[in-house]
Parts: sequence; C-alpha cells; structure tokens
Amino acid sequence: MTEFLAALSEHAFLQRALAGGLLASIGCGVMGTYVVVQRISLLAGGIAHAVLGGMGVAYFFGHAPLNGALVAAVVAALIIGFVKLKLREREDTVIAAIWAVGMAVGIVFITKTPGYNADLMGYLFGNILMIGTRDLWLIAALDLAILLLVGLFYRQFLAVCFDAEFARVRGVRVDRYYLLLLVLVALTVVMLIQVVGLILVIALMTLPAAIASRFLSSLFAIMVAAVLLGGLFTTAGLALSYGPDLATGPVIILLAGSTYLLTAAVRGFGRQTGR
Amino acid sequence: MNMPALVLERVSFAYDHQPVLTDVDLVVAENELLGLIGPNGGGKSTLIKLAAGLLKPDSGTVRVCGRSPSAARQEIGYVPQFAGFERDFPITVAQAVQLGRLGSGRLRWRKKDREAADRAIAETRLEPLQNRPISDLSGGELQRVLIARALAGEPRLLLLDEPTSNLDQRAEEDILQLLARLSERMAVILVTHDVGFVAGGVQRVACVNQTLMCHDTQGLTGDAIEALYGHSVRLVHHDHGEHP
Repeated sequence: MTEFLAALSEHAFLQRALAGGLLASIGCGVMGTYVVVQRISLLAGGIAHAVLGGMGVAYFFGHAPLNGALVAAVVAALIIGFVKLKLREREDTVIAAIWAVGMAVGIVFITKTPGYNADLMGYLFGNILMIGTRDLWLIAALDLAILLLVGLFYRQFLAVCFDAEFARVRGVRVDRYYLLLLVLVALTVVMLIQVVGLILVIALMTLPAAIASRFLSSLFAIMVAAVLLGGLFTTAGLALSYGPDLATGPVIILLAGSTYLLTAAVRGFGRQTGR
Repeated sequence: MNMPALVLERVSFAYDHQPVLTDVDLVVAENELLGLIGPNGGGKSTLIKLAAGLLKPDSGTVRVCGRSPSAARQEIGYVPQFAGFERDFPITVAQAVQLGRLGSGRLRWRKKDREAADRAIAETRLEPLQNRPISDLSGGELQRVLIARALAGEPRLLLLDEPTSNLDQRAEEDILQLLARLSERMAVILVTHDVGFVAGGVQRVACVNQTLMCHDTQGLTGDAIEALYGHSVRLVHHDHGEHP
C-alpha cells in the first residue's frame, strides 16, 4: 500500500487512473441505482456489449474508438427502449440479439483494421492505467450531464421507475423520460469502459447500488452510497493491483463482487437471527 | 345542473381484435360510489383504464368532468392494481404520496403540493408511517398509500382497480369506509372481485362482461342477494333488460 502511495505521488498515469476511477464512480453510482431498482441489468448489458460495434467501426475508419462507443451506446439504448415501449416483441430476445450483433460488428471491423490490435483487450476488460487527460475530461463532462439531468428530472424519473402507469395518468411523458434514462445509462456505460472494459461494466454499475439498496430505503441515499462505494472499489482495486501487477479492472470487480456476497450473507444471517 | 364525473357513450374497445367492451354506456354522477363487478377478463380493468386515459376507445367517447380524460387528468385519481407493484422499491410513504402531485411540466414541489400531500396522508391515517419505506408496510397500509397518492392530486373522479384484493377483512372494511367517506366529495369507481365488498356503501353496481349492466342498490329485496353473497346487503338490482 505504501508502495502504491509512493508511486501515486510520482506517476502522472496513476494519478489520472485514480481521478478517472473516482469520476466514473459518480455517474456509475447514480445511474447504477436506476438500473438496480428498475431491474434492467440485462438491458444495460445489451447496451454495453453493443458498444463494441461502434468502437470497431470508429477504429476501422481511424476515429477515436470512444466516439464510436458514444454513438453506438446511444443508438443501442434507443433501439432497445423503442422495442420495449412500442413493440410487443420478446424483449430479452431483442436485447440478446443487439448484444451479440454489436459485438460481432465490432470484432469484424477491429480484425479488419490494419496493424496490431493491442487495444481490443483494453476495450473488453478496460485499462484504467491508460486513461488520458482527454478521457478524464470526457468522463467529467458525462458526469456533469448525468447529474444535471437527474437533478432536473429526479421526480419524473422516480415516478417512471416506481409506477409508470400512474405517472402516465398524471400526464408525465413516460416514454420520453424512459428513453432519456436509457440514454444516460448508455453514456455511463461508455465512461466506465475506460475503467473496467465493456464486459465488466455491468458489474461495476450494479454492484455498488445493489449493496447500498440492501441497507437503505430511499433512492437518493442509495445513489450517494453507491457513488461512495464505487469510488472505494475503484481506488482499492487500483491500489491492490498495483503492487502484484494484476489487471486493475478485474480486481475492482472482484472487490465489488465479494463485498456484495458478504453483505448478502450478513443480511441473510441477520434476518435469521433476528427472528 | 351538475356535470357528471364520468360519461361513457357507446364505448367499444378490443385488444388485438378481441372485443373486451362493446357499446358501453355509463354515466357516473359527481358524488357517486360505483362498484364494478364481473368475471375475470370481462373488461372491468379496461373500463377503468379507458376512464383514466390509459387506453383510447376504438369507438365511442369518454368524458371526465366534460372533457377528454387527457385534458381532465388533473381531475383523475388513479389507484392501480395492487398486484403489479414492486414492493421493494426504495421509496418512503411520504415520497410516494407526493408523486401524486406530479403534473406535466413542473420540476419542483410548491407549498401547495406539499400541503395537498400532507392532507392526503392525514385523510388515510398514514401520518405515523410517513417516513417508513413502503417495503415495511402491510398490504392494507400500502393500499392506503396508493389511495393517498391518488388523493394528493385532489381529484374529482377516483378510479380504483381492485383495491381490496390481497387484503384481510379488517383492512378491506377500512378501505371501504374510507371510500364511502370520500364519495361525499368526489365520484368513486372501484373494481372489485369481492362481492362482499360491494355490500358496503356502494350506491350502484355495474356488472361488466363485455357489455355493461347497471344496478341500483335500492329497490331490491335483500334476501336473494344475502343468500348469494352470504353478507348483509342493501343493494343490487338486476335489471338486465336495460340492454336488449
């Protein structure tokens, strides 16, 4: 740990990694809470994996993969949202299809791109140590957008998540807010890809909020706790992986996952002895 | 002359070409307490959703306080079916009730909104529970929260879809008394499976089974109904000749 702290003061890339992890935790905790209480993890997973398609296409045409990811994430969110709202299609089938097709498109384009594709693993599993200053600005901008919109429409989002039918009777534009919520989830996915990669995104998005929701019973409180937990996991993951030179993203997820299991056990035990 | 709270005129509705309601006429006066009974799939919930503006009729017109349901949504209090509800959603009683004030464009609660929510909480006797998460509540308490949320909007027409399914008898009588009291100042329409519930303060019963037949609660010998329902009843008048 002291080794990590010494290295942190010395290396700019570690400072950027730390800042990136902490910044990403903000949007992650807020949007992860919506994903958990609305039970749309599968949906968020579909968006996350479809993102590879956009990254691959952008990569092939020589653009920044992250820009492709942003476009693909928003498009996937809108398609999935539209299917869910308007078509009586089997939602899980559509999500699974978008999930796989997005990845297939991504792999096809990435493998067709000339040169050595060292970045592919980075997209899939993240490379927080490679976060650049430009990435930090992007994550900060996405945070700002998420906080602004959630702050502005907190009640509408709450009403839509809690009881969409009632919200509709009250004249709330349920479909519009639902799609906006999905787009914000998509933006969060993109910013977390830098940290843990698109395969691990869903765990980092949902586990902090899921842990918090075991102990707290207001949406806002869960959001705050999820942000703090996310920051804790990314920071601790960074510190623990640095010394033994482990892959940071997976270590972050293992920390979050084991904490989740631990709290599940504690709650289960507490419930049994409480009777 | 008073404006009826709800008027349905020759309303028909079908789900995927499967007719659910056919040529339904119904007028509900402003302080009426109307019970909707009928078999499963007979169209009770559909009728409530048409009145709430959640569904649009294929033909015919729906008028709430003289306007279309979407124009009159501030007058509508809607209490959805209990069963389709997430019990573990992280929200307190007071927060859930406040959502009943939500309108189209507003972003912040005003003083008026908070006062209306407080009145609704008081009226449904939820004050001691108002900071509790809804996951802590019993079925009857949660049902009162849903009613309070609808009342927070200060409706003139209260629509309830099976407010007493899943409740024990005491909780059920509680809700019934509350609705009877509310019908002194607004129209109340409730869907119920439970014929015993209809026995309470309901002034009129409508039997919905694709078509609709209304029955006044006066002018019927109670004996037959009592035998049928096993309950003390002072209502229901079967006049099926209304719709030839």
